Parts: sequence; structure tokens; C-alpha cells
Amino acid sequence: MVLANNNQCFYLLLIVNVKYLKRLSILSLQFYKLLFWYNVAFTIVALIVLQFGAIPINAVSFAIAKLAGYLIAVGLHYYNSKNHYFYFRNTGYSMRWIFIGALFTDILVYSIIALICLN
Amino acid sequence: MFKLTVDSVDLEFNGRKILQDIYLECSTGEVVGLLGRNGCGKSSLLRIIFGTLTPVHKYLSINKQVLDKGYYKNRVAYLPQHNYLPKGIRVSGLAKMLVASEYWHEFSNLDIYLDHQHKKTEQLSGGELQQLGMLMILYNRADFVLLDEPFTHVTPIQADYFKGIIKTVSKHKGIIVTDHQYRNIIDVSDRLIVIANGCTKPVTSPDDLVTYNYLSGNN
Repeated sequence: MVLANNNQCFYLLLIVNVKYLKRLSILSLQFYKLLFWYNVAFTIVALIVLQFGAIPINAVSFAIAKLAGYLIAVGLHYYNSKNHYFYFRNTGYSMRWIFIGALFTDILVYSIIALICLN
Repeated sequence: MFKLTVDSVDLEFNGRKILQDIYLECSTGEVVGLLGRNGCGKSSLLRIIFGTLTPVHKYLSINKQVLDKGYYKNRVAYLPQHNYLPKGIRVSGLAKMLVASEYWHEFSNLDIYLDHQHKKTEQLSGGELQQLGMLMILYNRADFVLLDEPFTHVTPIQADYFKGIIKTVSKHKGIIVTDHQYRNIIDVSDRLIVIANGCTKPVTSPDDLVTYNYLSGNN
């Protein structure tokens, strides 16, 4: 009986978490879409800056440029469109999770592009 | 039934005390109207409850369960004064994230949603955005809704339409509403509170609005 209740609790928790993560991934994609062109532009600028600094472009320097591009894009979006954050907060999520979700999406997108380019 | 309690809010800007002796309660099933002069801290109080403004001190709870930020886990929803819907995303995509499943049938059959669901927000007029933004907040899954100036820049017919929806939705939610169009606030509210000198004062008769310097006495 106790075991059955434990199993029910486990499945309930699983369903709740899957729903939570599904909503978070949709919101992260929506936020990533808002940032997209800023992100691309600043990543290219960061790569150009690295090249002018005579730093060889490898996995580490590319990751630094990518992170810098993402952070500047988020900063600029925050400066220009802070009011849109009310939309994300009204869904019940903190902006910290949306930023992390969008960064994860960004890493995924650039990893896929890098893999395609390497092949 | 849920009860939202806000107490001991202390807010300062550059050493100037804005809010200092605040006590506010709102239960599901009621509409609380919040009145006050310009700059008295009405919007600040709503943002403190929602969790986007940090005061020196505050106590915020729902059924005595202390909350840090109202918006966490969708306990409180907030309609800001200006458009909050992001550009570049379809109305249907935004609505599906904001509107609660139990209200979805009702919301998705509204004319304004049917007319604009496939459009992106930048294709809508200011009035349409305001209407959709407000409806998405009212049909949100949060138990408490904070409305900051919902009647500003709204035609009288639209204001009446909004008041009807606020009254309907308030059967299941607690709503705190503030606006300078005080007649609309009086119409829609079950209870009124004035912020005067940084403190909340309950309004028990129309004369109180004059006493607390909200109305001049000639109205």
C-alpha cells in the first residue's frame, strides 16, 4: 500500500516536472527568438575582436566569444525591452531560469552548427 | 479560499519615504480598489507584491505562507501600465503560455482572440494590445491579479466590457486594481483603500476620499 502510494507520488512528481520543463523550454525558445539577431551580431563582433587581438580561434576562444555575445545581447535586450520581462514573470518563472534556458538553447544551436561545419 | 496579506511595507527612494505603514488584505472572490494621488506609491506597492521591486522591508503571504516574490509559481499576476507582450511572437503562442487551461475555452472564443490569434504583436494597434494583454492576465492561472491602470486610454464602452470581465473573473480570484479613473474603480470594487502619506486607509464612505485629500470636495 505504502509502495503503491510512493509510486503514485513519483509519477505525479514526474508529470509536474515534465510539464514545468516543457513550459520552460517553450518560454526559453521565445526569449531566444527575441535575442536572436542581437546574439548573432555580437557573437560575430566578439570573434572579430578576438581575431584583431591575434588570439587563435579555437574551441575555447569561440566559447568565450559566444558567451560574451550572448551576455551583451541579453544586456541590450534588458536595456531596450525590460517591460517584456513582465510577460515571462506572469507565466510564473523567474528570469534567471529563462536566461539559463535561452543560453542552453544557444549552446545547442551553435554546437549543431559547429558539428555540421566540422563534417 | 485564499487570502493575500501585505504588511509592514517600507519603501524609500533617495532617502524619501514613499510607503511606510502599509496593510492590505485581499481574498479570492473580491475586488479591492486602490486609490491615491500621483506619486503616492500605488504602482510601487503593486510591483512589490508582484516581486519586481524590492523595498527596505515587507511581509507578503498567501494563507500565512510567506512569499518572497508574488509571481513565483504563478501565485500573483500583474498587468503593468505599458504593453508587456513581446514583439515577434504570435498572439496564440503568448496566450497559450499565460491563459489557464480552465479558462482556455472561454478565452479562445473571445472575438478579439479569434480575430488576432495568428498575428504577431507588432501587427496589432495599441488598443488591441492593451485589450489582449489585460484579458491574458485576467484569465491567467494566478489566484491573485494586480491591475495597474487598466482603464487608462480606454473608451467608455471598453471600460464597461473590462469591468464585466473583472467582476466575472473575481468570483474565483482576488483582484487589486488601481487607476486614476476613480469612478470606474468605485464601480468595479467591493472595497476601497486609499494610500495617503505613505499609509493605507480603508474607505468607508465617499467623504473619506475628501478627508484623505484624494478628492477636492467639489466632485
